Amino acid sequence: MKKYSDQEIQDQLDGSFKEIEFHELTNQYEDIALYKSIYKALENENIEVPRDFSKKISVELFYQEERKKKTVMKLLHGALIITLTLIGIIAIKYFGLSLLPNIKQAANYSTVVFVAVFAFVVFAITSLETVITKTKTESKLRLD
Amino acid sequence: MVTDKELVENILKQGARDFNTLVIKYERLVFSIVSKVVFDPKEDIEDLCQEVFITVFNKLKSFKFQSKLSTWIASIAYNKAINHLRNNKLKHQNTIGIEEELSGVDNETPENILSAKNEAEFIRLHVDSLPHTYRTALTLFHLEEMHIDEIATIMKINSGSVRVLLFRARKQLKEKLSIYKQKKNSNEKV
Repeated sequence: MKKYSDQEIQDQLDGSFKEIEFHELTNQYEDIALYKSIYKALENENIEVPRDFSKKISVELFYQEERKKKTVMKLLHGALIITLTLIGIIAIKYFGLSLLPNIKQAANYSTVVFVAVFAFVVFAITSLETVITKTKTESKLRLD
Repeated sequence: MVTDKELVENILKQGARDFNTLVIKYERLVFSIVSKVVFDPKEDIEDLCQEVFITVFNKLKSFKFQSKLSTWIASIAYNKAINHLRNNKLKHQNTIGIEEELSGVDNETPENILSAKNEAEFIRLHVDSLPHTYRTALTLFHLEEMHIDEIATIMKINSGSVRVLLFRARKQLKEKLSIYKQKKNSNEKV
C-alpha cells in the first residue's frame, strides 16, 4: 500500500487534493487522526473581543474629529488675525489716525472698507461657531 | 444586509457614525491577527487593535476595492502588529534573544505538556510556541477561513510561501501532538 506524505494528508484535509480518499490511507489512521485533531483545534479557537470595544473606537474617533475641528479653527483664527492686522495697517496708511469720523474719505476707498467689514463678519461668525461647537462637544461628552 | 461597498460609502458620507458597524463586523478578525503576532498583555493588544481601526477610518478614502475589505483591514492589522513587534524588539534587544522573540513563547516544558487537559489545549499551547508567521498563517487559514491568495496579500509573501508556512506549522504540531499522546498513554499505563 502506498504511504502518503504529510503534504498529501494535509492537502486532502484542506480539500485541495480531491483524488485521495481517506479509506485508501488505511495504514495511516494515526497520522490522519492527529491532523484532524489539529484542524479541529485550530478551527474552534476562541478569540475574545472586549464587549465595549466598538464603543471605545467611536469615542476615540469622536475625539479625533474634535481635535481636527479645533486645529482648523485655530488656523482660521490665525488667518483672520493676520488679515485684520493687514487691513489695520492698510487702513492706517490710507486714513491715518482719524479713521472713524472720516466717512467721506472712507467712501473713496470702498473696496478696503468692504474687505474690512467682511473680515469682521467672518470673524464674528467663526467665533460664534467655535463657542457653539465647544458647547455641543461638552454636552455630548457629558451625555456619553 | 449591507454590503462592504455600501458600508464604506455610508461611512464616507456620514463620518464616524456608521463606522461602528464596520468595527463590529471586523473586530474579531483584527483581534485574532494582532493577538497571534504580539504576545503583549490584553490591554496592549486592545490598544493596538484600536490603532488599527483608527488607521482604517483615516485611510478609508484611499480604499478603492481592489481587494476585499477584510483583506485590506487584515493587512493593516498585520502591518501594525509587525511594526509593534519590531519596535518592542528594539527596546528589548539586550535582554531577549531575537530567535526567542521570533519563535514566540516556549511552552514545551514537561509541566506544560502534562498540564494540558486535552489535545485541543495542548495544540493551542504549542501554536503559541510557533514563529509568528506560522501562527498568523494558521489563524487566517483555519479560523478566518481565508484563501491562500488573501493570506499572501496580507502577509506580503507569495502563495507558495503561505503553503509552506501552513505545511510546516501543521507538521510541527502533529509531531508534538504525537509525543504528547505517547507520554499521556505511558502515564496512564503507570
